[in-house]
Amino acid sequence: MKLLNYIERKSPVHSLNGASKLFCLLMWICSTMITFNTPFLLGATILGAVAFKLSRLKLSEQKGLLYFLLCFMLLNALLIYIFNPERGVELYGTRNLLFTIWGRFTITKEQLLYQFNVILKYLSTIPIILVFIGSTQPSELAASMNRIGIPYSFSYSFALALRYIPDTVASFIDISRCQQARGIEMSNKESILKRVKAAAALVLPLILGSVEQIEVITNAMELRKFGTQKRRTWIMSRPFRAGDYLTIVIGIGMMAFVIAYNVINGSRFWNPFI
Amino acid sequence: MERGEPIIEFRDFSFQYNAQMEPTLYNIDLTIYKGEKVLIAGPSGCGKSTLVNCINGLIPFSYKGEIKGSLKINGEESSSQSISRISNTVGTVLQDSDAQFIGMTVLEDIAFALENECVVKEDMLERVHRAAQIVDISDHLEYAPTDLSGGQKQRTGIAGILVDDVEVMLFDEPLANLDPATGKTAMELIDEVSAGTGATVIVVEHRIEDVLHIDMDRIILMEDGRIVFDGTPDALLSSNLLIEGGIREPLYITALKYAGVEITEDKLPHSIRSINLTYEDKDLVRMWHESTPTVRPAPKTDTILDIKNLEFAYEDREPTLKGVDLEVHRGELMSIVGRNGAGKSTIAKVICRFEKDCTGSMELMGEDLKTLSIKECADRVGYVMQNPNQMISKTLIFDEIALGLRMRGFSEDAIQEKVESVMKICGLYEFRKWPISALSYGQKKRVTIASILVLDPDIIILDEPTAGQDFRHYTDIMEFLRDINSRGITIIMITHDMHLMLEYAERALVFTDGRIIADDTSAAILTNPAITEKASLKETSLYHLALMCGIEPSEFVQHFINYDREVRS
Amino acid sequence: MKTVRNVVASAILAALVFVLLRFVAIPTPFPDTTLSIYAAVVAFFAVLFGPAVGFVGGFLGNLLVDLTAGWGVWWTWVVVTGLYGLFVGLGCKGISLEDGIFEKKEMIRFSIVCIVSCILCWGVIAPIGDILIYAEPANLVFIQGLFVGLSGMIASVIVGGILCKAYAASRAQSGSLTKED
Repeated sequence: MKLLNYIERKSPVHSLNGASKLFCLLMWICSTMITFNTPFLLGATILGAVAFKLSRLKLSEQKGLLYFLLCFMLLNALLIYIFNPERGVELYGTRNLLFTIWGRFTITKEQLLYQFNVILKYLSTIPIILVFIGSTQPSELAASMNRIGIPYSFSYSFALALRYIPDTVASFIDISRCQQARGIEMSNKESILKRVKAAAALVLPLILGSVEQIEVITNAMELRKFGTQKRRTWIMSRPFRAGDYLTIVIGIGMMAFVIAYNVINGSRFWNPFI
Repeated sequence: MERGEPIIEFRDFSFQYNAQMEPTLYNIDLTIYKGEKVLIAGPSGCGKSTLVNCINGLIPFSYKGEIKGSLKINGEESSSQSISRISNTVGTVLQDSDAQFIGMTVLEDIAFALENECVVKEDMLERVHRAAQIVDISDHLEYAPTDLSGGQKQRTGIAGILVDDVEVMLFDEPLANLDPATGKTAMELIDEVSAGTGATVIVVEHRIEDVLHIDMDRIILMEDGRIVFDGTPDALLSSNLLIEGGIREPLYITALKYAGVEITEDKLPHSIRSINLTYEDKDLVRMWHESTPTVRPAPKTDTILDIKNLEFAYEDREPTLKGVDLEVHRGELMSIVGRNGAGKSTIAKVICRFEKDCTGSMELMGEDLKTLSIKECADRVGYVMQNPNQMISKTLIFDEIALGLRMRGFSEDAIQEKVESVMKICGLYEFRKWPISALSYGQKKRVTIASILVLDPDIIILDEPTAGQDFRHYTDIMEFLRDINSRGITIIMITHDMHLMLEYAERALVFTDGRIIADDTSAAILTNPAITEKASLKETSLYHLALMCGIEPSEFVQHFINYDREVRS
Repeated sequence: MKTVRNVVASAILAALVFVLLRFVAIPTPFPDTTLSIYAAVVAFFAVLFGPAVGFVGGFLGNLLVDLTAGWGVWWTWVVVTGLYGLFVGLGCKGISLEDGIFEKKEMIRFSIVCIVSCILCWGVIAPIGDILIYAEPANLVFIQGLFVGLSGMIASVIVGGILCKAYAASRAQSGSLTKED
């Protein structure tokens, strides 16, 4: 099973250092998460598309994920609208009614802008996550996390999780099939309590087995001196090049813009209605 | 023999774990010298794992307990060092090759210790490549553990300690997860590496015959926390200590003893290749062989499972099963053997309907298995996983065995009756009030078999029923299976263990690359060099003994099996 | 010494959370909604290994799911899964599964801690986080939170309780054994 969809290819994005990409990714996600500045989000979306193009990844390689993204985005937009058709009015403080569908389901300019922002948030972040995962070797991730200042114990937990997820999935499949053969199922026929208990029986051998495994892995790591020094080196680390500094500057720039805009504007919202 | 300086010295050393009432090691006196190759053997529970943990520093640094006496590693008391300091001297390859493999790829795993020592990248690369070259894994540096065979994982494990220039290489049951031919290669590799680097080798194993494929300088035999023998392999094999200690002797030794041949040190009995048999000895063997006519077990003919042209492929991969034809007969006790990835586990999963997308036909007594759900299929064909802990999901034995019946809506009265009768068959009745966690590994295995048996299947398939078990537990589990078999249940075992195959399976199927390349008695297969080589098996030492004495090998092996069966029962 | 074990335990917890979130979905009476029991394993690990492992493992597991699914990284929910492990770990300090003790008293304490932590995490922190950061409508996020919180409660109390009990039982007799390899 392939966990992260890394695709080996020659591209300017692939040749960047994982640490600079990770830093930029974090800044990117945080800045687009905080802001409701529509032009900024539009800009980030375009920049994300450019990065995707530069990375030489193909849309067809990401089909499953993109399809899922589309469904999720529409579902979320629909839910937001159903639950609060005038959320935009609350947020922007004005009310420009366009028309009313039925009862409380109104369409206002504010709601349209707000929901457009939410969609832009998806569109500006997902492609950049795809680019990052598609262009960064999983093995380089932990080294990169450590490089940007995350403690190595935490970084190595991440690496170990990536290492052991395929094993865990494989033993889960084996165990659950054996339990299914004995008759454990979680179908709709039973009461919810029984279903939860069936699930417990299904996963109990897996979880207790994993706990036992922890001791053995710990021994293996201690016997090869993990955790004895204040820092560690990484065989998968890579040197910084000019492009990496540019990547970091982009990340800092985005974050700085968002913070500056919030401070000067006094609000996270780009508001054309006042 | 010329001895170097001592590298590991136990002096009147005892150890008791904090949670236990009695010591696990008593008054150990043992010196291991630089450059030696030492085998430590003993049944489970004899303390050999504890001894390993003392040598590599996990005791006293990870496992707490009370130490008496002294243990010096590289001239310095171990308890005054640290686990990482000891690791500079002693490199350990654990039995569990998946836990040993820490890195995401071979390259990272070999580099793991160096990364932890903050070696700069350029030096690391050079040292990793050198180590990879020694164990011949350089072509697989970007591979993830899931894409490697057991043998390749072991090579990576060895490289991972070699990279640190250790003086002692410590192997905990290195052969446990390997097929016979790979195990043989692994021992040869260990031998080569130690010759090349001058490193001391300590191997902990209970498969004496397989380890002695290479020349070991010394064997240490342990029993109940004490060392009961410390000497050359030849001296040990000339005694009866192995049998008394509950360890399997090499098969050729057992055969020679049956034939009345006296085994002495000067005959160099440590390997079938070294042993010097006199003319009289060979005569004794021939006479023993001819003393009774060799009876071949009558083949069974009542077909219960009929598989025709079965094909199966995992998603987007090459087919794992390619046109398999197979008839299983009622009441058979058969084994399926072959290297990892040859398709032997896959066919079991396909028969049990764990994997569904197959083509071809599968009929159980005329009923098409392919129309059944996984649960329905389990009423007819039961599957027992290798590790009982992966199957047990209840805390009480009764509930665990009753689980399948409850899920099938039997009444509590019927369940009570069925479970109790199965418990009696499986020798679990006296434990019926116990929690499962209080049972031993072998008893847990019985519980999992009982939980399948209670559904009253026609066939039971077991994956490696005796993996990791010493001779006594092995015999215990296998005699139990034979007993069940004699009650009319057909048993299919997937295994790497050639002793199991030889001693218990009357019929063996050999898989290679998704096809059955041989279907014969175990005796015939393990004396056929063409097949053993193709399927990564190893011909039994009895084969060589037969050739040495001028006897037809498969006849001889069959005779041995029959005789051995009688002696042991 | 304990830290290496914590690094490994966090990683294994993350792997388990990943598997449970991706593969184990219990159908519920509500159409198209499933109940995931990942909260149970977070709670169990938090009791067994402490709040730090609960936090890091829960956080990493949820992060990995978000990174590989198509919905983007929802930081509030990712952090909250970690916080849940943190709270349960803190609230259950002193329960020593290693020593095989998980009786009625511990079970009640574990259940209460889980219920309170669920309310705090998915009933309060996650929705408020969503409102503050993503400016989502309040009623929507509170209903989402209610649903996840409730399933977290059911899973933690039942499955988590079973796990703790089973683990404690497997440790219980270790003190009285005289020989076992």
